[in-house]
Amino acid sequence: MPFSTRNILVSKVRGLSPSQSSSNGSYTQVRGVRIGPGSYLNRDYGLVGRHTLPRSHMIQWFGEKALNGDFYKNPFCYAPWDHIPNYIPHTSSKISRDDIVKKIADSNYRKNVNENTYKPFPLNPFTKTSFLLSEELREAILQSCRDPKMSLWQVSSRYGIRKERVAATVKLANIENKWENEGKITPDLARYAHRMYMMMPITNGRLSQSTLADRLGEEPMEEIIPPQAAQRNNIQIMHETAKFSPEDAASFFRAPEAAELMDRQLYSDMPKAFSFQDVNDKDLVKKIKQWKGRYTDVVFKGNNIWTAIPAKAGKVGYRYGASRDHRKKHRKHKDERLNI
Amino acid sequence: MPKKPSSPLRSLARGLLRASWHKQNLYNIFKKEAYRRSASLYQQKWESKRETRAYHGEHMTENNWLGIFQKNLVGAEILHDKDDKSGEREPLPFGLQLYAPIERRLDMAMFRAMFAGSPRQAREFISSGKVKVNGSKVKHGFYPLRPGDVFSVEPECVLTAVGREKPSNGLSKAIDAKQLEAFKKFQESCREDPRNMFEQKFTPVSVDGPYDPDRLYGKVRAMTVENLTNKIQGLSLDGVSAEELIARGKEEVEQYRNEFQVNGIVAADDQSISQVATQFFRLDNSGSNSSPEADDLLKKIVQRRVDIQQAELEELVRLFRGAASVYDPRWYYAYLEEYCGSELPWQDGAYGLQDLSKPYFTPWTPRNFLAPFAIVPWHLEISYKTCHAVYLRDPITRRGHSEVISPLPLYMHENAYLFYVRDRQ
Repeated sequence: MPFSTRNILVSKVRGLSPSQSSSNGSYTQVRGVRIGPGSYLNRDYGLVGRHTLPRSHMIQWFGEKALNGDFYKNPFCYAPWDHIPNYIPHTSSKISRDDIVKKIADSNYRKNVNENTYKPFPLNPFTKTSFLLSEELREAILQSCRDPKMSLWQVSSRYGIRKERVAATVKLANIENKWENEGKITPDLARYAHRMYMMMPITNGRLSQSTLADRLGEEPMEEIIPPQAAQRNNIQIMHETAKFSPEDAASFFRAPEAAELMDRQLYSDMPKAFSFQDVNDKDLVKKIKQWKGRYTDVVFKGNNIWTAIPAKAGKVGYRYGASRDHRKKHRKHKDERLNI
Repeated sequence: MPKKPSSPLRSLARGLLRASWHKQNLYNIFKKEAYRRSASLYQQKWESKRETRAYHGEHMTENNWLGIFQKNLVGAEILHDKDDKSGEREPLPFGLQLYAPIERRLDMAMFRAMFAGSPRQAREFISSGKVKVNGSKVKHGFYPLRPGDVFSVEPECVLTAVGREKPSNGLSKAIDAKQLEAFKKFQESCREDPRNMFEQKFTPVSVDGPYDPDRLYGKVRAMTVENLTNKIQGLSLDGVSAEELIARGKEEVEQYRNEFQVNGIVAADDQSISQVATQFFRLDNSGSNSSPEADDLLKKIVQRRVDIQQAELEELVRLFRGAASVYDPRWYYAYLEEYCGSELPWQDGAYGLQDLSKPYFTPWTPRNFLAPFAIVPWHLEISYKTCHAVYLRDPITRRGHSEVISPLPLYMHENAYLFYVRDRQ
């Protein structure tokens, strides 16, 4: 009989009894199993080798091992290449593992992309994955940002991506260019980056609206986070028939109206580049210019310029340790600083 | 001293969900059910606290967590018109904002950006000085990020965390031996029954997954094509000297000498070679002095032989280049050592040890069971090429969506919030 080569890297799992061959696909139900006190004595529950019942269930859930130790039959083992995530599917708890495996193995499963494919955890429908910017969208954003006529909010609303994200994309692109020029991106790193890109869901934003990912990836632009004052309990006593309007709320918080606040948040531009012309102390400016970019950014608060400089710690730890205990006279090192 | 977990991190009996990429943790997440035990309110709050704290900030002590716990839970709302029907809107999951302050921590942000397999591993990288925030080295995992901060990790750490485990020399040799044995059996069965093997349509499992089944074999075929094209070029007679050609021709012709002496004609595998060889023998009977005509004939023989060999190989190249849809009895030659030139052609060097200087599996491949945890966060912008990430803003909630990533249901977070607030108003 010719050697069965359905998979080249295949081997038999140790610890499975001949009757419990997992190639037949007899998986045990793991969800909702109420394990009673004497169940470990009952081999019908699916004990494997000399393991406990929960561990036996887990071993069978992982499935058969390949030659190199991979659980290659487990549908969650390998990462995808087609930008469609491979999460635990949203099903009821009554469904058995066999049915879930069949569902994922079905070739149509990955084609029927709906909102649930982008929700990683079946118990929490509020957690959804975001989307990476596709190469086209990223290039378009960077190109638009280089255009001096377009402001940040214009770029943001054109492509359906938040301002902070656009600014961050530009920042990271500059770092990437710098690394490429310096040759810091090794082949392994490039391989890793490409693989992560292929694994994660991507979006084209407002460039194209063809897939569900493009629509889901468009971020909500018209939302505001309430200011600090509004986050506290605020109680105002007023007459029964009096009406409370947005202007009254604005005057209570001593802030502009919500609509105006929203406009400001949405349409404020990037902070202007700081110029050193207003600063009087030229020597200080020289010093700061030397330090800038080397350590942390320079911060201007009031009339002062702040930056972080490396601190001199001195001898760290030289007082500690049994050999340096200054109280014991026969020890090696004495702390003569303290004159004890 | 970093805090150790009070219970085993991956206990199967307790089934607590952890912020980790470990496969046992994945099993616990898969197995978890949403059920509410009928218990007193305090018991429910306690159990919710236990489950949620096991995932969110398990590496922090309770006092540290209470220090950053905030009573006010903030959500974002879109300004609606007065006529908007509020009943149709999705709920705002405020409860999930409970553990939002933890996402601000550097170790948690690194875990969310997929630079480390868990906040504990992230903390290890941070304390060993491999992480920078805005260009400065930060050695504490609790460092709170502010909107706009750029944090970066050394690429070697990330590649080790996200990649497969580097096998030991012994393990690598053992796996290579098994692979070789299986591959030899495959080649044997191809020789025995090529038709059957062709129709079976295998799906080989590579180190990086079965989603593209032809990739592994495609790679082997490409190698063979390259080897064969090199061979074809190597066979050509461009730079060969005349004396060498004559010597080669003489060698070739020697095999037919006996036949000519017996039969009077040469019957070689190729017609033109036979004709030229018979001409040569009729011309050159003595064999000591070589006339220019004889040399020409010898050169012709050599050229013809090379042409035949090149044509054969070119045909094979054409066969291997296309995806094998039509059956050809030589289809499996691409996987034989004499053509692809290597015992294990899909692998360059030992298994996982292509580059011994690296601390991770080489060539780099992602670790197993990474896919269910491959979540792109909303509050970070990540650059995988340089292992940098930008902390955009604190994670918030909006209608039907929470930026705080949690595998546990909303009611558990709400109960945990009630536990921590403790009706102290």
